[in-house]
Amino acid sequence: MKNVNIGFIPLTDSAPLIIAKEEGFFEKQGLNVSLQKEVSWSNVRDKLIFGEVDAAHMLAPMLMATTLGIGGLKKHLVTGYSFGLNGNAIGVSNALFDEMKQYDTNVLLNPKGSAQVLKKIIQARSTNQEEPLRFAVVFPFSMHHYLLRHWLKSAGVEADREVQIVVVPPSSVVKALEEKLIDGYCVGEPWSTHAVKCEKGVTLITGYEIWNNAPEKVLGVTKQWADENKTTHQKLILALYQASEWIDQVGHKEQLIKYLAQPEYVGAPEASLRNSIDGEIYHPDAQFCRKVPNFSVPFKYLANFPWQSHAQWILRQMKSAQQIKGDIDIQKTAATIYLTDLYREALVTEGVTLPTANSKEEGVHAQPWFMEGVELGEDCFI
Amino acid sequence: MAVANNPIKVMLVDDDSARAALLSQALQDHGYEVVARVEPGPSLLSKVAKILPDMIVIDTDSPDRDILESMSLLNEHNPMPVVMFSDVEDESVIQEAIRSGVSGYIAKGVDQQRVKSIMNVAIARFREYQALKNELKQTKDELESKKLIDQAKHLLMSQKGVPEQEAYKAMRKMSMDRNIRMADVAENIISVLEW
Repeated sequence: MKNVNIGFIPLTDSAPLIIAKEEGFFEKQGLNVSLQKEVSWSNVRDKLIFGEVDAAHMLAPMLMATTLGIGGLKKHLVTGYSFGLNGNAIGVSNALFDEMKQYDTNVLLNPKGSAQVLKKIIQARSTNQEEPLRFAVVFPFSMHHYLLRHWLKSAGVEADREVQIVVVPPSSVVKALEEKLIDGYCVGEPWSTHAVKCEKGVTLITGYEIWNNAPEKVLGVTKQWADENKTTHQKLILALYQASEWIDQVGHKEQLIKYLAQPEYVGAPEASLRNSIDGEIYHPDAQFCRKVPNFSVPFKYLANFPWQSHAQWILRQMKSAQQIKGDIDIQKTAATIYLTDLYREALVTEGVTLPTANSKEEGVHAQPWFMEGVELGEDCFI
Repeated sequence: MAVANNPIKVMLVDDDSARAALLSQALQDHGYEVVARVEPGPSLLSKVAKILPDMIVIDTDSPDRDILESMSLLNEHNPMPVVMFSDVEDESVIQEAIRSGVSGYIAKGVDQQRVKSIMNVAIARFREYQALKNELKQTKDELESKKLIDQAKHLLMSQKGVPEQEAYKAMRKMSMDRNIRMADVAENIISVLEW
């Protein structure tokens, strides 16, 4: 048995690690995996860099930031597996929601128009020389940050100039709302559902509705480890792929929720976990749950494939947010981090059909579509 | 470890009050000024902005590390989170981390001995940061003086009709005779001639 340490943050999308361990997919590959629950993304990153863990559940943009040496140590990281698609949501404090209702009583029924309503408030605040709205994201290098910016931009709001963006860890979002430190947030599950259930926030729009089937977390390893442990890396990817397939089966849902609810894993209430897995956008005020079937996509649409076009989009956002200064070759950088061939090699024994392309055109498919015989999800932007 | 006349202002973030007290004492013994001892939580955002410490000492096992680390990235605050790992004993690893601009790491139990080595590391980090900042300031100052000198030179040339070489020589002579910086000479000339 080969020992492998993997760090993770307690979020719903860490499920493949938990399932691969609990349901024996790691063991079947001859891997003795120990999962280390971490408290912050900075910790996950530093432990990976120092070799305290061999692999980690990471925000996809952290791989680009670390590889380029932005915001911390510079170390070439790579990935050959994505933990799935989507899973974030943007919400606002009750006070801001009440204010939004004055402009549009039906704001919840029209998620795509939510940023437009917000823009009116932002303009009014600016005219009255009031403090700008403050939004929380979970890390500077996160899809949460870039999706929030994209959503604001869809209504012509300049994130850098017209709002303030701060970092609040996912599990602290409710507290930050309670203490009136933030007006809004973009956070992953189960924490956005949790904020609504605690009656501290209202979900306006899901990440899926900002970019259909967007990337989210990936399995990060250092390039050095990947080079020295290629077989182990492939076995990890295979076991996680099998776990993702397991998660996707409806019959496994209750068991999945039980595993995730355990304190050593996600440790959130089962009811919140169930809402987030079912794609039910909880809203106590309207007494119904809005259904977003693709709120989180763990397996279908080739959700675990590390598309280089995902990495390219992220790099472009980092550039527009001024996190990347100067010129870089976006395509080349994406290709050195997202190892599509490794994914293909890892799954060779599974007999699944995979496209030969490493990138796809993003933002042009309004419906699920086929690439080389493989069904992929829609990929439009708001 | 001597700390200059201006003690470094430290903000201590810890929810374990016994450990915080111990750490606070140890920091003061080593010449630091503990300006605030605060409980973790998202309200750190406003506390840091209000207190503006030179350094922050926080437990690694606090999720708020992400808040502190990101402040400088998103909001252009410049506190220095000093964060410490539980299991890393290897000094060279810590040094490497600090050299690269990441925070340091601490073990769970805080004994006096460790606090000292931790703070050494923290000071190294602080100095490195200061050196960078000074270097940047120096570069800026140099650029600024060069601009002033050029401006004064051109004023002399256009208003007094002296050739460039002579204008420069005159300024240098003035600087040496009166024992003042070239930039100050330039400033004097500009203030006189720009009327």
